[in-house]
Amino acid sequence: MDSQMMQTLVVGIIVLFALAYVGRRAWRTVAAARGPKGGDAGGCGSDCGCGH
Amino acid sequence: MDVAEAGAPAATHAPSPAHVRGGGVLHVALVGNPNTGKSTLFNALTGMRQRVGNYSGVTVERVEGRYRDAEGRPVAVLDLPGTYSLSASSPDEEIALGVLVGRAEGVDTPDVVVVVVDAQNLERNLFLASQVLELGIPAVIALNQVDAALAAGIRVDPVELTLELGAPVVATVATKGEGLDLLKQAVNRAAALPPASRQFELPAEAAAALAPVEACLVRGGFKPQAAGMEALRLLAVTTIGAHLSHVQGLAEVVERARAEVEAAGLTPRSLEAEARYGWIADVVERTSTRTHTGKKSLTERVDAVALHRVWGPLVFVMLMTLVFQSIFTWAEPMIGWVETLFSALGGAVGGVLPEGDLRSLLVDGVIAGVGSVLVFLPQITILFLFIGILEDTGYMARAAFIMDRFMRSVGLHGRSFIPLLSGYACAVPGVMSTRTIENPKDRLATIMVLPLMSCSARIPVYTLLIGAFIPSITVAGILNLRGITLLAMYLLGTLTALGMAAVFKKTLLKGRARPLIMELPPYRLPSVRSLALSVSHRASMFLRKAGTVILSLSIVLWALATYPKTKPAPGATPETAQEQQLANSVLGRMGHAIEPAVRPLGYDWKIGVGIVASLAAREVFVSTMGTIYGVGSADETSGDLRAKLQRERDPRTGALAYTPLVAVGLMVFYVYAMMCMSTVAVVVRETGGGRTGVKWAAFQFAYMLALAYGAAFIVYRGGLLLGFG
Amino acid sequence: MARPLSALEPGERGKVTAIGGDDDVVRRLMDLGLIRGTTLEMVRRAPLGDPLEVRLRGFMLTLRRSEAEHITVE
Repeated sequence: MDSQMMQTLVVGIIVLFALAYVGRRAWRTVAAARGPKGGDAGGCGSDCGCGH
Repeated sequence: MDVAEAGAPAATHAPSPAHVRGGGVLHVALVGNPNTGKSTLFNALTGMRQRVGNYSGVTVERVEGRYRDAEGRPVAVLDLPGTYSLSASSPDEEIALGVLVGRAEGVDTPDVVVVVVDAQNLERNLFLASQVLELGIPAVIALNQVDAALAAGIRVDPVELTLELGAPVVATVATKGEGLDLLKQAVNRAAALPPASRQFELPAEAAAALAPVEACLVRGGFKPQAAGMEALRLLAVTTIGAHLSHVQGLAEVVERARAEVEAAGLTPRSLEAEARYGWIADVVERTSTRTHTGKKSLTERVDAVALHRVWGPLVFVMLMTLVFQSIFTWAEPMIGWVETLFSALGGAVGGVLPEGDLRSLLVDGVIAGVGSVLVFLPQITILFLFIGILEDTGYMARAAFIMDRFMRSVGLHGRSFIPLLSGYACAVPGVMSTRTIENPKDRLATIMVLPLMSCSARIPVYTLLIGAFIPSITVAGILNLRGITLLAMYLLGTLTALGMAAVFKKTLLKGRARPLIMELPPYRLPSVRSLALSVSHRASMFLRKAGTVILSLSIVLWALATYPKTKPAPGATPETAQEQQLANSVLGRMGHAIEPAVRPLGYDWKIGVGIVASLAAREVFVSTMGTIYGVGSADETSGDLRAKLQRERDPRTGALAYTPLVAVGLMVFYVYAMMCMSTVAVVVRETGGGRTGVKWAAFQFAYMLALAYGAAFIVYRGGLLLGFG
Repeated sequence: MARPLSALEPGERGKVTAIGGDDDVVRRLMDLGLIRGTTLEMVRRAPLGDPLEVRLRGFMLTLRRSEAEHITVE
């Protein structure tokens, strides 16, 4: 495999991981919205980021 | 000196802690009035080993931490919400009581409870302490802030107090870390000592009247002592709490008891308070001395100005101005450094890797995207620092005091002021801090308008657009047009928030005004360590967000903008080739799809894409623009997003695509639009969770989007009509 | 000389003789130590006239005029 192909392959893997991560985050936000127990630790266990 | 042992009946031997259950971990609960330094004590005990969550089914924050005692054994500490009593009239108090009697879902019954008492305010603090001590749980009293008390001329004798209360009292100064070791020792030993009990007597008729209530509670599973405390408490309450719903026939028994008490010539609803405070007055007299220093305390002297009729509001306005001024001027040099750093980073990586997709991903996607957001870390940190200082020094309560009248004119509560103010930093903690607002309608109204307060995530958007499109000209000699525009955006958001609150309170959320009964705590110097801890905690959370969500989003967006790849048409310039590439990518197609919707506002598909992407978080607008222009430019090493935005031309007309008018319209859009999934998630939870929560959050999102579109439309079209185009 | 708390001027003191008003408000006030027989001192009014700041049992309490109206002192 030449360098170009290698690069594309690496890129492909990274992008897939990123997609999976974003997808999982989105799913958790939606899940938090549904369950009365609020899926995660009170909204700021991990998915918050603005602070607190 | 080991005061913990002095007054308590001697344990037979060996200070071995009584680890009751759960893998040998000792469970400790921390209770106390607000403003007693309880959080500082908690921080001092647990340091960074903390975790914040939620109690199941309620919107009360659950704060837990750990420490290791002198023998190295783990101790779990639960910091219960600050409460004035266990009357259970607010969710905070209900949870505190529930946890202490072992009836809170998912929470281990504490083995030991530490009651944090403020030495300066002994009388009021002992009310809660006396209630807690009657519950029959091994208890330790942490007599905190003794240094401030001494300075005010108040001496409390811990030994005498121990004898009076029947529970060990340890003097502490949480801000300086004094007395902590003694406290930990006392906690360990407390479980081996007989629990405290009620130290005063009720009038005979009252005791007789309450006996059936206590019996009923004992049948319901309560320990005799806790039953005693509950029975007395129930005389005054109007609704039986959730943690008592399982006790059969309780309501009737309590009614009969009330009638009996009245028949005996006493007042049921004031019985508990009068009995306790009567006893407390004697205790305080026997255990503490107060020497009047003659001159006014520092708090009094400062308040003479801070709460003055004329000077008060002035000081307030000055402080607020200082806070905002600092965010935008002090952060400037730091922003510059970050920008330079990231440009250099981009250049370095670009120089090292061979040409290809990976290089493009790293330079145009990751570094450009994440960097354009990290640039705002200095501002956010400064804002959190100021809010933390205002809270910890005690000024926030004064602010609520001053603003109450004004807040009520829009139907809100003085207590809404602090959550709203927090909204300037971030709506998420702001929404969560609305828990202090007791009235559900007031609380809901505050939550509904809170995101309109321009949060720190909007700063990147404002700064980018102002920097690119508003000329830096001086107005009236001292003000800068850029500063004015920024202020205008903030004012717009704030005024709309207040206006919408008034509208809501008059229509959807009509209701009676709730009382403002609040303590104005003495001013104190914030614990630098505690402050540093919380600010760095928030900053690191922001970084984590930038480091994870935004990074992933930047990568995904880059991919969406790069693929599918288009072969440039023969003879096309590098710029047009990039244009075509972008237009044909997934991102480009999405953008074109929504373009008709945003055209009336003066935006093109690139901005459209930015807006859609920013649904995740407002800062993502900037990083999206960064990615789009990183990808769409012929020059890979150029990092100046502003310049690119300025140069952008409409492919059809050739004219400049973005004008100051478009920029202002776009900023107005962002003033109003709720572009933050995190806020949506928190609002869902705080407005009730489940269906109700989703309903309210959806409504909020919809009305804010309508406001955003409408306002942006008016600004843009109106501006065109007026000739600003 | 029984008067409502709201009628006190800054600096004036009074002893509480009766507490009326909304049940929840009354209970909260009593929990905080404002019971019959408590001596309190009216410290100031907020710049906009409302709420008031009152000193009792060694600390400062704020309450609105509408709540103070139901508290009788002498």
